[in-house]
Amino acid sequence: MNKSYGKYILKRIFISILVIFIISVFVFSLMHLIPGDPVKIMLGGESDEAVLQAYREKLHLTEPLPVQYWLWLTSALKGDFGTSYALNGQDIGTLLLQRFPVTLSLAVPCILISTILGVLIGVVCAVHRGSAADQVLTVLLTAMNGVPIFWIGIVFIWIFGLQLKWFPVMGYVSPSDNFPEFLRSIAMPVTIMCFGPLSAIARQTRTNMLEVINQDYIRTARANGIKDSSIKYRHALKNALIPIATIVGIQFRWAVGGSLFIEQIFAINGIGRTVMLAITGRDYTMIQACTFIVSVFVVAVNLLLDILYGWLDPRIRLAGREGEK
Amino acid sequence: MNNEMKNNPPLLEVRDLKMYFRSGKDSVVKAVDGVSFRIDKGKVLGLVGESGCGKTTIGKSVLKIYNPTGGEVLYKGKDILKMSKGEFKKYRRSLQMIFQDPYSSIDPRQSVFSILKEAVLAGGAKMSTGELKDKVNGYLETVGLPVEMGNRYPHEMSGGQRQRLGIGRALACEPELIVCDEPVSALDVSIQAQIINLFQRIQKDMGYLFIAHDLAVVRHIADVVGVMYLGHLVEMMDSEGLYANPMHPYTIALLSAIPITDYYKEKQRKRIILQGEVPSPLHAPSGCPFHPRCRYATEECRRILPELKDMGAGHMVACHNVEKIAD
Amino acid sequence: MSKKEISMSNSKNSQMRTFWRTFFSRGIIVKISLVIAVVFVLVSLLASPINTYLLHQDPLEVDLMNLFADSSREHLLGTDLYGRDILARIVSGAQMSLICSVFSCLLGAVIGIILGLIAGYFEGVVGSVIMRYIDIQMSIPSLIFIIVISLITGESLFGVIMALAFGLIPNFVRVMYGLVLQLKGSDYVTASKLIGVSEAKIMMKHILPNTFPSMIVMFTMSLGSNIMLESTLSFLSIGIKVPTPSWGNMISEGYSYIIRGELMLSFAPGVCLMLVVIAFNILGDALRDSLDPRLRGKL
Repeated sequence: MNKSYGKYILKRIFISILVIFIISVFVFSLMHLIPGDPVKIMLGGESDEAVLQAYREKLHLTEPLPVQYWLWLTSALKGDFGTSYALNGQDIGTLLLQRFPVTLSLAVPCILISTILGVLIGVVCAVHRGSAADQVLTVLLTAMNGVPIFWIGIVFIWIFGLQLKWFPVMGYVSPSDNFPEFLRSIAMPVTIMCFGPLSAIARQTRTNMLEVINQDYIRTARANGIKDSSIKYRHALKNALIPIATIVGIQFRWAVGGSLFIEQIFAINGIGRTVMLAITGRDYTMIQACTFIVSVFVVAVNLLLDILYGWLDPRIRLAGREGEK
Repeated sequence: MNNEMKNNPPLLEVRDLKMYFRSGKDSVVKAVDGVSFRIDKGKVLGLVGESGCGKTTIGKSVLKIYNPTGGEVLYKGKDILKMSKGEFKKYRRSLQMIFQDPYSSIDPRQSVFSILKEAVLAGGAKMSTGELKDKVNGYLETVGLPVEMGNRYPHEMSGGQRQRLGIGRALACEPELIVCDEPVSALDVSIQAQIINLFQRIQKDMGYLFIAHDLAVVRHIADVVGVMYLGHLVEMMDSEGLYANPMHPYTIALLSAIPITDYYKEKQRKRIILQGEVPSPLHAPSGCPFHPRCRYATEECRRILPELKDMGAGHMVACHNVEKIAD
Repeated sequence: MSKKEISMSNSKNSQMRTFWRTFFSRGIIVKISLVIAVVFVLVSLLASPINTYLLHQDPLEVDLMNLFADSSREHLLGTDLYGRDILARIVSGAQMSLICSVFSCLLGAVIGIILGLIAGYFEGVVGSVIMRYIDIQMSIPSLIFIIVISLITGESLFGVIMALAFGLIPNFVRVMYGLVLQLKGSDYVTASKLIGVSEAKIMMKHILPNTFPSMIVMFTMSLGSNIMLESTLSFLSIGIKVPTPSWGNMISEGYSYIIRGELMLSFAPGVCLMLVVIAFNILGDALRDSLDPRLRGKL
């Protein structure tokens, strides 16, 4: 491992921690900007002032903001996010712990499938550029990008769930309980979640491949007599893949956001649905906790991708040995 | 003599100019390492050398586009490097540049007329629309562009025409010194000659710092020629003297590479082929920068950087073994 | 592509002609998208007159005797769960989508462009602060961010527009920043400095106009995505609330009824949504390709 690569990683980690810290301040302040008195909402409009005040003090809402923030942050780091009143006083920490894996079981297959299929389709399109297949696929991809996900979900439920009865219309089966049923329950949600990322990755791969293929060094390789397919798949692909890591990061953020309504439509109890419940129920503590956790997770994934990206791009990995001007 | 020089300082005098770039944490690229020269009114100094030898950096430092690491740049006797932004403002327009790439040096969204108009008015001059139009058309004519060109956009012009426009733009500032950074390298050979002639026609009292890597081009236009290698000035002489009697091994090799049109003379010439390549400025050789490729290199060359010495009639050479090579 | 001979035509006209020619040569799909987009804009602008004079329906008029009616001459797409005319509601919804999207895009684009320009041109502390903020905002999944902002600004038309604008800003800042950095280093900017043009003028006259092609493309694509986002928000019951019609909340209202076979309420607005968003995406693509093929893949 190269010294400068190590430095690069450390720098990234440091920045990520800083970002998480700032996000926490951000999330915290945002919550306090939402109009309405949280305590009133929590206890209903009926209770008298004394009870309300006592409750406020219990939740530390009377303390100055920085103090509140500090209290929140320190307990959050210990895993204590308070209790959710929208979900009947359950501990948020445990809730999140239960529901996060559910969302992951949707998001991970989604990203995997989108990346692999997306790259494949993109490569095929680029290599067979201009052919019927390429044109049809490109149109299809553009369409996939513009389809309203929540709506397509309803269409799918209608077609595949109610009419054809292939998949369950809602609900979630944990993989540890019954694996085949698990697959059936996530089939539709994951497919729909893939529309956006897959089309984005496929189009980006196609564009990158085309750019690379047209570059001079590829033409030289061709002129040298190296077999065409070998060129396309080895030289071009390797270089075209590098910016893909960035795209995957962006799509991951998207997938997390998309899970919000996918889980809503399919009544799956993941983080997305939880956030929705918190929002409609005006459960500030929960919104705060969920937003924070999700953001932290996204930052973590981006950090990993950065590290991977740094390894893939030889300029970063090998920098410092022979400097370029 | 001193009084005279004080009253009539050269248009431009560069003393011990250094430009170092940091590359990473430990390495330094010494793009320009102690270069001195002067340009008098109405004279042309040609600066030649291979890519990376630092000539463009010098050009940009002289115009204060880069901020040099060290040295002095005296314009009419005053060090412009030490001036504040406010002080320098009045000299800004006197120092202009013609760029190498005629395509990137012009804003693709501006018409020819608007480009020249901006150049004329940027100095704060006020004039009526009619006067402005006359002035712009005047410049168009000076650089050899038809007046109808005013409505054209850069993407509709050829490289040569764009370069003329660039020259017109510089002229509109009424400069006294123009740095020409390889102004014809990007042009077709047939056009090159026309542009060089244009430079000569419009020169009048202006000084030119003419940067090029083509010795043949420079020979035609320069009064004095300086040869650069890896950030150092290795030879400098008025152009006739240099071409007739080059003394530095690098210059000799460069000149031997210029083809002569006479077939038999060409066949008889002794070509000097330099071994190796220009080393990376990150790892500049010790002592004389040229020694790894020089067939006359001695131990002294490896250790000590040779200084420019006057070998007679103002012919400056930086080499330890000049006398031996002459034979 | 570049004309070397001096033609006698006015150059600005010839640029426009080349542009339109490339734009339309992209095939029939672009033409269809343009038609869809134009129809959408016209319908949105003329929503009230269309409803009153053409359809003779009030989107808010409840008719409890006529729930989920089939399509008839009176109700071209049938009625919804309260007996309201679906088509009229779709037409009003279109207006809602257009208003939200156009204003939020304008606001987001203007702010984003200014911030990006400042960050890119001056760099330094100001630039770093701006870009750090953008990084942080982009770390929070945009949907969540937009929802939270809507909650803060109040769940009204105004709130939605603000929230969508906010969500859009990072995209514009990022692209603008990159562009400005790149353009800053061009020779012609250096030349302008040499001539003595002031920094402010260079920013406004030389750098900013050269970013316009990219900004126009981004704007068009943002229109599409903001229409989608507005629908998403109203689908989630945040933003435009019933009874005011919005495509998103119509889809959401109809969701629970698809089991009973009542599809029109959910499907019809969705189809419209899909067509409009795809149309804008295709237009954005085509614009980008014809304005500057080099931008392909970079936006």
